[in-house]
Amino acid sequence: MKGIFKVLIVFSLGFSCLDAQETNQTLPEESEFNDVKTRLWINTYGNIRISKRLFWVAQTHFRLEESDDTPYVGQIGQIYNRHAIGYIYNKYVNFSLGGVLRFNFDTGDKSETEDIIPEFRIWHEYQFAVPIWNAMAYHRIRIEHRWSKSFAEESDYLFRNRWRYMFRLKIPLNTPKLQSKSIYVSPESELIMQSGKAVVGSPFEDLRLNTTLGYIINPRLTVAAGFMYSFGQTLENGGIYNQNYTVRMHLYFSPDIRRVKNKLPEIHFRD
Amino acid sequence: MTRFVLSIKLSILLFCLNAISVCNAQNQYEFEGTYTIGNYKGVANFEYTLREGDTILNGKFQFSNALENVKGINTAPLIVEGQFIDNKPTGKWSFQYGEFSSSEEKKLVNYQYVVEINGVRKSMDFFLDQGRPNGQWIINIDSLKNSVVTKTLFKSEFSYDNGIPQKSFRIENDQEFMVGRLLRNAVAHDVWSLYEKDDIGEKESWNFNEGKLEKILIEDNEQLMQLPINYNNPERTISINLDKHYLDIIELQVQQQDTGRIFQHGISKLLKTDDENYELVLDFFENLKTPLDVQGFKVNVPVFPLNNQETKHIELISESHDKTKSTLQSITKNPQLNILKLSDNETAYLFSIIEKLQLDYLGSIGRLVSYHNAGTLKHITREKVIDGLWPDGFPEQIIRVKDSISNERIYVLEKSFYDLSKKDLSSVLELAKFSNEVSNKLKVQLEEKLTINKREAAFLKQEKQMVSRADKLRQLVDSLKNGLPKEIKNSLDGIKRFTNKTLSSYSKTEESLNKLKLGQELSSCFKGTTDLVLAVQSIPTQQQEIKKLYQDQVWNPFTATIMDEEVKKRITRAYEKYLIPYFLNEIKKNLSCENQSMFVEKMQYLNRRMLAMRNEDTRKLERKLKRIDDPIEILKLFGVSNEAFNEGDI
Repeated sequence: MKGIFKVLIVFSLGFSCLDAQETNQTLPEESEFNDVKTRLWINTYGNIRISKRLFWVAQTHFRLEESDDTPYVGQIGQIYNRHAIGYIYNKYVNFSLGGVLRFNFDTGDKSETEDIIPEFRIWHEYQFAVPIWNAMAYHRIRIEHRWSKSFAEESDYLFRNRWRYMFRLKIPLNTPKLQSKSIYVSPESELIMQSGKAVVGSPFEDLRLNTTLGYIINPRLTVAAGFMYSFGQTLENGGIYNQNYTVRMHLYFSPDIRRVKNKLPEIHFRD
Repeated sequence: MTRFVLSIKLSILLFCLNAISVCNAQNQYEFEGTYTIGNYKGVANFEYTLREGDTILNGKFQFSNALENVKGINTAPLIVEGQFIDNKPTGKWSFQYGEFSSSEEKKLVNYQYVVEINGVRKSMDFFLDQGRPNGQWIINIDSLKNSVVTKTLFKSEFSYDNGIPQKSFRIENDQEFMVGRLLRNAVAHDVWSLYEKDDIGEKESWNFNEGKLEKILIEDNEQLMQLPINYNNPERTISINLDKHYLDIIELQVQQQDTGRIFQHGISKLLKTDDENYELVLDFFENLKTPLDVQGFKVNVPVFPLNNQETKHIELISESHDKTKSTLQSITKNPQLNILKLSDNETAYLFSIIEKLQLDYLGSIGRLVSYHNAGTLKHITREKVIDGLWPDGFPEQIIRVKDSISNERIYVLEKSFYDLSKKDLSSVLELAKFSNEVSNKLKVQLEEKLTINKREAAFLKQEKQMVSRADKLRQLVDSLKNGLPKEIKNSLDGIKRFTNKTLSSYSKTEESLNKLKLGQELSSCFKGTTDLVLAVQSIPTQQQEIKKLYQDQVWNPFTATIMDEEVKKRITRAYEKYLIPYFLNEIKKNLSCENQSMFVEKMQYLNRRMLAMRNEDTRKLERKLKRIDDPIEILKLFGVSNEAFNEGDI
């Protein structure tokens, strides 16, 4: 665990270096907040066990957003395909490394030629769970290296790094611990910082404040839904902030495709 | 090898010397060790020689069984001292014996702890010559208290010459004494007189004339009573020993005249007591295979030999008497009947008949048989002996007794009649046959009584057991119900209803052997029902156990916790949703004594199957379960419903 905290410290130092970069943007007198955009995210999270220590992360997210006349679900925004191979260090700590193929839809009618632009990412993630009484707390560090392109004419793929830290609680409401048939509440907040040549005055990409209510159908299937408020600097101008209201719906599933004989008792990860 | 054989021989010799030591060089040995003589087991010390392999007693002889052992003192000890010459007892002999009890405390006397004894001390001192009494023979019987003689109970002194009692003798007890005279050949002669110790006058006298007792004179209330002996003109007379059998004969002779019952005291009693004392000594020497050659007083008695028919009769009487006696004994010694007579008047009545039969009928027949066995019967006419034994004539063939409320009840043999008109052995035989038939009938009646009583007792016991089991069952149900799920409670209530219904139908059944059988069945049925109650009561625990067993521990990657995951859900669902409700419902509605054990067995087997199926490959079974919701079908699939349990479906 000590090593993991060292990694965290290095990241924090990285952010302070970014702040020191010189900027040519014209900042407004006061910070400006764009109108709140409403969104609906439908997310599926697959966590498919493939061996004692490895699992396959397969996530597909459908992100809808408002259109001029329809809030939340007016149009499709992005479709995410996030995959990775995860490694279970012990029952509280796991790491993942994989790629993302995201399809961005032209929601602002910025391009006449392209409706969908793919975005590519390499990501790696470090999750630490901490039991607190009957609840669980989670620290998640996710680092993404992404290549994205805007719908603006003649734009090129930009390379940026994203530095994400999320803190989340899962508190069971109707059972003594998180188990089958538990309803739980999950407050979470995630800070997303970014860096890269294109990032000049806006390293603070997003701060997501979110509460979710979930139901564990069984250890392999959970559903949850929540509401999120998020805001962050626009890439173009660090003085201008986007803000969003997002309704999020989640389906978590974790099948085990191993043969029965290989399913060692799960508590004995370190044996 | 030779050395080895020698050493073995030496060992054997040394072993023998342990008990036997060589006294002198002329084959005179001494034995000292445990020794058994007749019924006496004790320690003997005697000298002997060996002649052609036989032990010839020669020298001193001592025997005692009076040592104190772990069980305490011997309460009937015997100490004998004397000597043998050439295997014949010779010289002074003394026997000390008696019946004692020890005091609880021990006294310190001369630095020894001494136990004082109470009881009766008997001693006999006499002289023998070549196995024949020769000289004084003195018997003393004293009463002891704290080891001190308090009273002389009996004493007799005789003088023998070469085995023959001589001249006069004296016998006394604590109150009176008698003196008798004998001729040189031991024949009773002259007057034998009895005196009281505190009085001068003669109390009783027997007049003998060369062995023939002619008359008895007795003082009764200061009146002198004469009892002449009428021998009925016998064809011949013979000389016999004066022993208790002779006294019996005389007693029978004078029975009708003897209003003072002289044979229960006086001379007769003293002579009988004296006679009894010799038995121990004579038996002792008999057992040592060195019998004494001793003659008693001689008396003359008439002979009336039994003819063939009489001999046959007396044999049949004896046979019948023995049978009757043993039949009656088997009844009177039966503990169940003895208990029953206390509570059942009819049994008590039959017991009083037995008592009467033993006393008034069998007693005299028994005495007649014993006279015959002792050879006495031939010395008295049959008529006289019958008069003596039945002075009031033969008893009636109606046995009369008083029952518990002092009413007279009679007992008769309805279909039989025995001819008791003659005063001879044929009538005695008839009487013996009558007694035998009565005893057999009594036995049948009492056995019947016992059977009925046993059955009634069995009923009571059975019902008591049955009701107690039913009560316990209901109490068990009530005590268990608390805290159990509703379905289980309903099922247990069903069991309780079944118990009540079964008991009530039993109580409506008429009393008969079948009811007794039914009672037994119900008693064991309720025992089985108790098992069922416990089986039903344990269902929730079993369900919990099964639920826990059918869970895997799974790591949930989204919560990073270990969670229990239900496995083989179709099996647990079939168990929970179909099978358990099915059993509970069947028990509630269709319970019977016949099917309850099957329920218990099936439920237990289902539980075992559920525990076992967790680790079995059940994929096929689970696929089949998808389409089945009939509990009987499911039980078949689970292997619970098969011929091993019952013929039909539950």
